[in-house]
Amino acid sequence: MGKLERIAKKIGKVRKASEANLSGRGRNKNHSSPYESQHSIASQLKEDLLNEYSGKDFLSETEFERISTDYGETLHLREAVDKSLVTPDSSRPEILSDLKLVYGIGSVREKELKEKGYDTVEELVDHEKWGEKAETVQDLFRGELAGAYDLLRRWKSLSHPSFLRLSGLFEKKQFAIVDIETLGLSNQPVFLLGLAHTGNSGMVVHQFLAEDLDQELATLINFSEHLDERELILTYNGKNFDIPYIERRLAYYGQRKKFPHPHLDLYLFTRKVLGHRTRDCKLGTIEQSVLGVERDLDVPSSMVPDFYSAYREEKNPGPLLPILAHNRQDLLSLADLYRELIEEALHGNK
Amino acid sequence: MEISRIVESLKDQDWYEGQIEHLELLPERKAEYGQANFDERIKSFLERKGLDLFSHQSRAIKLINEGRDVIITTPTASGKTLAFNVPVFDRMLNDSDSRALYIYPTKALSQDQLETIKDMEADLGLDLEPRVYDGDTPRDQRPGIRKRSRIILTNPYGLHHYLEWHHKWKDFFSNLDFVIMDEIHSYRGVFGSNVAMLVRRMERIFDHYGSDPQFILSSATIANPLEHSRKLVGREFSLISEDSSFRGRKKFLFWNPLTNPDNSAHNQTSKLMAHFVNHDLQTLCFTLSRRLAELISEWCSGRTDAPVRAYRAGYRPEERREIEEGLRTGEIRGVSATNALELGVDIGGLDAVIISGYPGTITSSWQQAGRAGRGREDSLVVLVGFENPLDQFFLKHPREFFDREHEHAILDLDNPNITMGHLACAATELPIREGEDLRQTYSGEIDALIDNDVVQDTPNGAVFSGTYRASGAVKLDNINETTVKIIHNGKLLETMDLAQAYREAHENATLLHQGKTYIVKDFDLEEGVAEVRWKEVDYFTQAISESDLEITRQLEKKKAGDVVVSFGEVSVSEHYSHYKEKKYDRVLDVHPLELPPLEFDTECSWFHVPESILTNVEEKGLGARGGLHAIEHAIISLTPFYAMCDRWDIGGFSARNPLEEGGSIFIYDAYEGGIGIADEVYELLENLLERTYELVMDCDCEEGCPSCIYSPKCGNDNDPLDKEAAVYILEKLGERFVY
Ligand SMILES: [Zn+2]
Ligand SMILES: [Zn+2]
Repeated sequence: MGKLERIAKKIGKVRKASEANLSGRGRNKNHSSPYESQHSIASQLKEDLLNEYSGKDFLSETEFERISTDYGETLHLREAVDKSLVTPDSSRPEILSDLKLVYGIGSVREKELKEKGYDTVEELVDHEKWGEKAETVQDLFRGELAGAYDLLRRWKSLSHPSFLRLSGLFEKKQFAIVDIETLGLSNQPVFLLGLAHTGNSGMVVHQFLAEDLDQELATLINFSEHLDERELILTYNGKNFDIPYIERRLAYYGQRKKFPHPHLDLYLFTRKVLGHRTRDCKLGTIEQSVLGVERDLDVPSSMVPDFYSAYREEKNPGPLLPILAHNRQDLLSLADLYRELIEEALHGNK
Repeated sequence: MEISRIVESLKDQDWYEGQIEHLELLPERKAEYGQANFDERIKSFLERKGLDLFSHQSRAIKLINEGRDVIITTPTASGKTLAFNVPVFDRMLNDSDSRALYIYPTKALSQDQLETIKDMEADLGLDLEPRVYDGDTPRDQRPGIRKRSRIILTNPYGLHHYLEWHHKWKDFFSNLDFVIMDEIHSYRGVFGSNVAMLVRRMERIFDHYGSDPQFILSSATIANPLEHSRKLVGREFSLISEDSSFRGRKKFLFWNPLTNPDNSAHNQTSKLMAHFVNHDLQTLCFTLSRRLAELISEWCSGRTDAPVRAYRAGYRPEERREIEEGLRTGEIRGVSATNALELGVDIGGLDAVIISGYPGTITSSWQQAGRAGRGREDSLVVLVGFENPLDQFFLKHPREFFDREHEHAILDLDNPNITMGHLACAATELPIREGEDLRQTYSGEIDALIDNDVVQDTPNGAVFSGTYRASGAVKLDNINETTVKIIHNGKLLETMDLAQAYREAHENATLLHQGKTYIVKDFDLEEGVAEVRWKEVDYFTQAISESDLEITRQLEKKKAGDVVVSFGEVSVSEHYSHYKEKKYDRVLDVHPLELPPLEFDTECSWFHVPESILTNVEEKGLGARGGLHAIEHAIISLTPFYAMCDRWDIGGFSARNPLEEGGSIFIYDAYEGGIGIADEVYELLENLLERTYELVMDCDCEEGCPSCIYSPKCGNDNDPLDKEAAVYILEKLGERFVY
C-alpha cells in the first residue's frame, strides 16, 4: 500500500470510529439498549438488501427518471398519493380579532378598544387614531400572506397558534412539505430532497435524488425550482436543520440563495402542544404515540448516511430503497401531524 | 539599592558558595524615533498617551500602509502591538466596513490583547465592538459578534472548526482587510505546519468572498523569520527586525547551584527570588514545571513579607487576570511562573528575571530575559543552571549561550500526514476546483483522497464525501485532550491534562494551587475527577516514572549494509510506579502507586546495533548505554533538518538489550497514530547516520555539548551519555552501512 493511500485510509477511519461509537453507546450501562438492537436490525436489513439487489439497476427497480439540467444530470420521482392535506378553516376576521397586531396596541389598549366595540383589526380601520396602522395590517392579510407572516413573526414566537391559523389562509396548493436526507449533520452532502404538495386530487410526492455526489448541485437546483413554485414551507425541525442545510449546500457550490417562504416548523408546535404525550419529540416517536403509524423495516435516521454510502460503494440499489421509503413516510406523516396539531391547538382536545 | 549592589550583596549570604559563574553586561541602547503618516485622530491619541514612535514602529507602519505583508520580530516590550494596531485603527477610522482578524496561539493571549484593543478603541471614540471568539464564547453571542464586531480575536484551534461554517462569516470575511498573527514562532514543527495549512484554507475562503487581506505577523527572534513567514502564509514578507526602543543596561548572571550542594537548585532559586524581592526588585521567575512554579512561590513567600504569587496554566482566567494586574500596578512583588507568561501577556517590564533551568531553546531564553527591564532602568537576569550536562555546559561556556544563533522554525507543507487531513477540510469548506493552487500543489494527495472516497471528483470540483466531520480527522497539535477536573468542596479548583494529573493528582499527592496545599483524596481515572482536601502539610510529593517502548507491528524492514532498519507501530508508555514525599530536598518517604501506564500508539523507525560493536565498546572501558543514548540524541537533533519538523515533535528511546543481544535505537513520532516523521527517518536513515557521525566526530567539545549529544528535552537529564562511545559505535556502524 502506498503512503498516500495509507493516510487517506486513516482519515476514512474517523468515520469507522464514530460509527463504532454510535453503536457502542450506552455500552457500560446496558448490554442491549434499544438503540443497539435497532442498529443491529438495520444492519441486517442492509445486508439482506445488498444480497437481494446485487447486480440490479436502480432505475429499472424504481420509477425514478433521469433528467438533464444546466448543472448536470439528476434523478426525479413524481408520485401521486391518495391522501389529502387538511388545513385549518381559519377566517381572516378570526385572526384579525387580535388587535395587538397593530403596532402600539398592547393588552390594555386592546381591552379598552374591544369594550368600545372594535372587535377586529378590520373594524379598527375607521378609528381616528389607529385607523391608518390598522389598514396596513389589514392589507397584509389581504395581499400576499408572506407580509402577514413577517408581521406575526415580529410579535409571536414561532410556536404560537396564530401561525397555524395563518396557514389556513393559504391555498392548499401553496404548501410544500419538505424533508431531506444528508450524509451528516453539519457540512456533508445532501443526496435526497423530498417535497410533497397538494395536487389536483390527492397529494403529490416529489423526490429529488443525487445518484452520486457529483449530482448534488443539479439535484439541489431542481429541488429549489420546485420549491420556488410554492409559498409556504412545512417541515419538522426544518427551521433549524433542513432549510439552512439546503441553503448552505447551495452556497458551498457558490449559489447564494435564500428561501424567503413563510415556514411552519411543526417540531416547534409539537414540543409545545404534544410534548406531554410522548417520551421525546423525535418524529418516529410521535408517529407511534400520536399518529399510530407503524413503520416496518425502517432505516433509523442515524443510519441513513451509512445506507447511502453502502449504495454508493457497492453500486447496489438495495440500501437506497428503505431511505426513499423513509423519506416518503416522513413527508406523509407530516401531513397527518399537521392535522393533529390543528385539532389539538386550535380546536382543543378531540 | 542599585542592581550591582544587590548582586554584590548576594555574596554576603550564608548560602553563597561562589555560585556566580559568569556576569555578562548588556549595554544600554539609545532609542531612535521615526515618523509615519496616519489619521490626525491617531496622532492625538499617541500624544495623549505620551507615545513617540520608535523608528522600527514607524517603518512597520509605513510598510503596512503601502499594502505590504509584514513580519515584525522585535522583542516583547518593543511596542510590536502598537506597530500593527496603528495602521489597523487608521483603516477602521477611515473605512466603516473594514474588519480585522487577530489570531493568537492561546486563549489567554486573545483575552489579554482584547483589553489593549478596547483601550485604544475607547480612547479614539470608535465603536468597533472588538470581541474574542473562541471555545469559551457563549453560543447565543456568536451571531452578533460575527455580524457586528469589526475586530475579532481568536486562535487556530477554533478557526479550524469555524471555517466550514464560513457562510455565517460572510459579512466579516468579505470586508476583511487585515489578518494579524502574533507569536508565530509558536507555529513551528507539526503544529506550525498544521497552522500553515489552516492559513491556506482561510485564504481560499477569503478569496471566495472577494477579499484579500494583508497579513501582519509578529514573532520572537528566530533564525529564519522571512522563510518561516513565507512558508506559513505562502507570500513574500517584509521584515522588521531591529529594535529601536530604549533599553537600559542589563546584567545577565549565570548561577551554578552545584557549588553549594546542600541546597537544591530549586531551593536556591527561591532564595534568589526572595533576596531580590526583599531588595525591592519586582521579580519574575520562570520555572520548568507547574509544580515548581507553585513550590518556588511558596518557599519564597516564607522568606519575604512582600506579596509573591505563582502563575501557570490551569488557573481560572479571573485568577490569572488578577495576577497580571498586580504585576502591572506593582502591587505584586514577585511571581514564579511557567512559560505561560513567556508569550506576550501584558505585564509591563520587571526589575529582575530568574530563569530557573535552561528552557530548552535560545529563543525562549531571550523571550524570558526580555521580561526584565522597564524603560531606562537597569535590570537583572539570572540563569540558574540545573544539574544536567546541558545546563552545566552553558554555565561553563557562556559565549556558547550569548553568541548562539536562535533556533530555526521549521514547517513542512509536503508531509501528507499533515496536508491530507486539511485537504479533506478544504473540500468540506468549498469544492476544490480544477486550476486552484491547492489542487495543483497537492494533486497526488487529492487523487489518493478521491481513490479512497474521502472526497469525490465532480464537475464542480473535489467535494468532501464523508459521513463524518473532516475537521475531526485533524489534530493541530499533540496536546492530550483528556482533562482531569480537580474538585475541592464540590467546586472546580482547576483542570489539568492527564499526564499532569498522573504526576500531581494521584491519590495522596500534594497539589499546590495559589500557595495553598491540597491533598488528593480520590483520583477517579474513569470519570476524570480528582477530589482534594485543603490541608497544610510541610512536605510535597513527587511521582516517579519509567518509560518503555514496545513494538506492536513491523511494517517495513530494510538492510543497510549489515544493519537492519525497521519501520512500524509501537506503543510508548510511561509507568508511574511510586511517589516520594519530600521536604525541600530531603526524601521523607516513598510509597507505591497503582496507576495503569499512560500509553500512546505511534509510528517509529529503529535499528539494531550488533553486539560485537557494543562488546568492543565495553572492553575499551566506555559506556555502551551512554553511547547509544548519545547517538539517539544526536539523531534527534538533526532530524528536524531532514524531516522538516520540530525537535519536540519526536521522541527517542535507546536500550542495551538483555542477554547481550546488542542495542537498539528508536525514533518515534510524538503524535498519537504517527505523523510521518519516523517514516521519513526510515527512508533517510543511512544519510542521517552519516551526518550524525560527522556531527559528533567533528564537534570540538570534549564530553558532549548542546551542539551534538545534549538534548534539551531528555527524560533522563542527559544521563548517561558517552561521546567517545558514540563516535566509536557510529564509526563501526559506518563500516557496516558503508557510508
Ligand atoms: Zn559537542
Ligand atoms: Zn535522553
